[in-house]
Amino acid sequence: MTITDPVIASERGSTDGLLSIRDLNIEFFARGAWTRVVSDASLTLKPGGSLALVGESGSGKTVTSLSILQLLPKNISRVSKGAIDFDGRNLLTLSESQMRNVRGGEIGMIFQEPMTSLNPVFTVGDQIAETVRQHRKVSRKEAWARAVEVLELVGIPAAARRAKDYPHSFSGGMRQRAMIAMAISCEPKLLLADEPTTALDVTVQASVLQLLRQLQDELGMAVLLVTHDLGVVADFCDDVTVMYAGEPVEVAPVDDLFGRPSHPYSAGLLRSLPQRTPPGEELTAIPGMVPQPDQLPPGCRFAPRCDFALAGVCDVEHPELVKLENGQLTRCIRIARGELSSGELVAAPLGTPAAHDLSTIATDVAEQNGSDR
Amino acid sequence: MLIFILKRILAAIPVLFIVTLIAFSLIYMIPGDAAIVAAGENASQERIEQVREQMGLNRPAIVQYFVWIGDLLTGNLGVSLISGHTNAEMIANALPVTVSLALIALTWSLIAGVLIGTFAGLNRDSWIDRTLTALTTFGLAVPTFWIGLILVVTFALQFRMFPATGFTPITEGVGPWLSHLVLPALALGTTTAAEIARQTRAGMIDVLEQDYIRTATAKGLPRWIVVGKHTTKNAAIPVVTVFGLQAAALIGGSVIIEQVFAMPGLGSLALRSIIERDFPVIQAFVVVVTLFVLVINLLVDISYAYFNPKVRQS
Amino acid sequence: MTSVVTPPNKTSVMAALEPEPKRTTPTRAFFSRVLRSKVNIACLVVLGILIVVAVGAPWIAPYDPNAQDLMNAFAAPFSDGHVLGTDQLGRDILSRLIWASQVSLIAPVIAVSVASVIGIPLGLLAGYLGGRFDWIAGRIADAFIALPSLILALAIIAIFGPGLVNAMLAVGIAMSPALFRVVRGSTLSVREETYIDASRIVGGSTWRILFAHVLPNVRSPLLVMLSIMLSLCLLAEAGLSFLGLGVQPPTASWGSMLRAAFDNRFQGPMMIIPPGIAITMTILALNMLGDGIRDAVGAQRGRS
Repeated sequence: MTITDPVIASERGSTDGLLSIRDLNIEFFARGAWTRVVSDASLTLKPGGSLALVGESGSGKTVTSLSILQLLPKNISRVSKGAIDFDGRNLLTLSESQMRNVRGGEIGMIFQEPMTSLNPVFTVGDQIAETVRQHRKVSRKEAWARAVEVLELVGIPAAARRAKDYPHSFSGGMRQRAMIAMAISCEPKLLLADEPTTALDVTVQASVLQLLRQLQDELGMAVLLVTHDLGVVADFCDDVTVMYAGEPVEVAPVDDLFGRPSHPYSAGLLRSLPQRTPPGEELTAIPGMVPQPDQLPPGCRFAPRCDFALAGVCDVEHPELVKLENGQLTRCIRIARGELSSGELVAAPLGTPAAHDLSTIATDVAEQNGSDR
Repeated sequence: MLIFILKRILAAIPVLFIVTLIAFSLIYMIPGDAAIVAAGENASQERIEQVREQMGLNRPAIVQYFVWIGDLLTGNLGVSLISGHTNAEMIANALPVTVSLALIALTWSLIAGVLIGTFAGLNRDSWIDRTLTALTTFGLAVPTFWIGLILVVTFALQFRMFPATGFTPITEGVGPWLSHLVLPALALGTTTAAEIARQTRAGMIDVLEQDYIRTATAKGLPRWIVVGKHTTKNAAIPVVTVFGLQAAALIGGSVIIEQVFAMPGLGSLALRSIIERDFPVIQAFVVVVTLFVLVINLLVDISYAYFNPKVRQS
Repeated sequence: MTSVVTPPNKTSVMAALEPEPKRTTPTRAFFSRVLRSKVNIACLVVLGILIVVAVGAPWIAPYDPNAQDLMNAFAAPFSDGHVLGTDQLGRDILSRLIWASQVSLIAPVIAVSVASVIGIPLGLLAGYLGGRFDWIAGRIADAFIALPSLILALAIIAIFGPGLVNAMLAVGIAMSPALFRVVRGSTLSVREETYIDASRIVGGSTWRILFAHVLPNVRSPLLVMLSIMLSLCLLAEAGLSFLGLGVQPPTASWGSMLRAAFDNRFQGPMMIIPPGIAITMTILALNMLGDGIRDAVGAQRGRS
């Protein structure tokens, strides 16, 4: 069995997204009621492209990625609205047996914990060959050969011998590579990576990301990377969707996001990166916590933690995702209206009110006295 | 793998040694003169001395211990004080009864327990699960010999579907052999089935929550393969543990069941020898039973290595 | 920090970050957790009723349990005057059942006490001291565990003779290795905690450390084990009495009542029902309570 001819992304003429999620709403059943945990999530991924889905825990990013392959627990979760278009089909309308063909065959997925994501009682080669046999009509020998082939591809030395080993004899980074091998063994068009490097040492992280990029180039595979670490995003992805409290708050190409963030939350995330903190200064974090899905504030969901929020504006109406002139999407009302600029987002240190409009603050501060600090 | 087995056998030897010490010292713990107790209070002096010599009480304890161990190792398990038969012979006669009983009981309880537990675990928190779990809880609380009593009274005495007592060796026909074993094995296996069901359910639930199950689904494998192939080996280990423990416990349970169904097995032999104070039999019996249990434990340990590759290297 | 917008959930965030008010001790928290489940409460109620019945037997039992009425032997349940019928000597079964509860409830307590006196101190010592003592004690425990406990109990009865006390002593000895193992295991994990070092530095004697510091922290798995043991010992007493090696006549326990029922199974088959139900109910209550305690302990563990 041969490796497919590497297809370079730019050779694919279509501008249609390979993966297009539109207005996705996901609800979970907890404490006796259905609560929405993902609201109106949308994203587009080009063939061979790479998109990062970024957010803190509780932002809904993992739930969104799991819903693509319908891996969410059936009795306590449901998709209440929206569509997930992949390669011309809405995945949400597929039958279970059709979905099975997609899983592993057209879309591969790797997870955060390589230690527990591989079955400890079967050899690594077995588990990869199993995937191959599921999606291709090949003999056991051919499937095994493919398993070894794909292990070599991900850079595991002595692949033929290692394929006969059990997962516990692999190191963390090697295990993740093995998982990647398993996920790409049937040449999927899309790879979903849910926090693939979070559980790995920093040095290993870099090599795994490099591997992903290399595979992207060689196989023309699109990658959806779910992560909370903006540092990982910078070197890897073309586009970024930032999620907060279950909804996208900014969508932008990666350079634009880093250079000109158009949402205070994105700016806050950037500001809190250790790499962005001058040496000698304290590391800062965005104060407060992500609200629970059943305790969402009125208006903008980030407003309570936002340094730029304006009473009467940001806490009244829930803002929509708006397209800016440069193509970026943002859910910040004030940015969309032009009242706030990206530069100001970046300049102000976290934790202090923006000093640009004292007149509106004055009356507010009088009310605020006595509460908080 | 072979080294693993050898290590396990080596570890069992000190335990066996201590058991022989316990079994041996039983006689010396008897209050008063052990020979008199064994021979009976009304026995003649001649008889008492005869018993004393038979039990080796006329020798220093340490010497007798080694004589006894020597005998054991050469297959001489001693002679019964009461019947005069060799203990080996008596045990050999009683063994097929208890082994048949235990085999049938273990077989049905394993099958039923695994089926019930798997079903319950796969449908967690559904009405199926709740019903099966309630059944299991009840099964654990009911004394096995009470079930034996109910079965005897209902199916043997009232409805005459099965014989109430006795045992037919399999050499005389599988049908009669089974018909004598159905009721007692059913009773004896109840607790075991419930324990296995409980452990299987817990193991199933535990495994189904594991990440590698999600990975298997994400690979596009059909549900029956995910459940059948990927959960089995992982969930098997705690079940095998319980099975091993239960196999040992069954020996105790069979003592009473054999009384209820008047079966001439090891349990009856043990009871008789205790009531009659036939100490050589008791001693031999203790050693044989413990050996049996240790062998079961060894088999359980070996099966771990099969199910869990990590164990093979330890 | 100040924000120009009133943050609706900031105060809840601040509250969440504050330390919890220390109004409950771990013990009280444990009890309240156990009592939260209706099942646990039901079990405690059942056991409580059983204890009341046992203690109040002289006043509750309608008849003298030993009063014979040979003309009325093998009366069916619900026949006049006898709710559960009569046995082979015409004695009222309900009264015998009530009086027998005294034996059947005390017996496991005796056995568990014996097992505790042997198993707990040895387990603490073995886990704490380690080394050769631990190894030898461990091997001996393994040997006892390899012997099916009923067989061991039978062997001990063979030496010392039948009778309730002897039987329960035997059962207690047979059960002690399991208790030893549990206590030893917990002690091993507790041993490494720094407060043990602290008390050693202060100069506490080994026994004082074991009982004052190690034991309280070993409480949880111990409690679960004890509840399991109570039901196992209850079963063992029933079995041994059934075999005639436990209580001796005229004293009755539920187990010996089952024996009488068995001996008279042709004439009075219904006699097997009441004692069996009594035993099953008690074991059920003990088991479910044990499960409830285990869940409560687990919940506590999960939190820390």
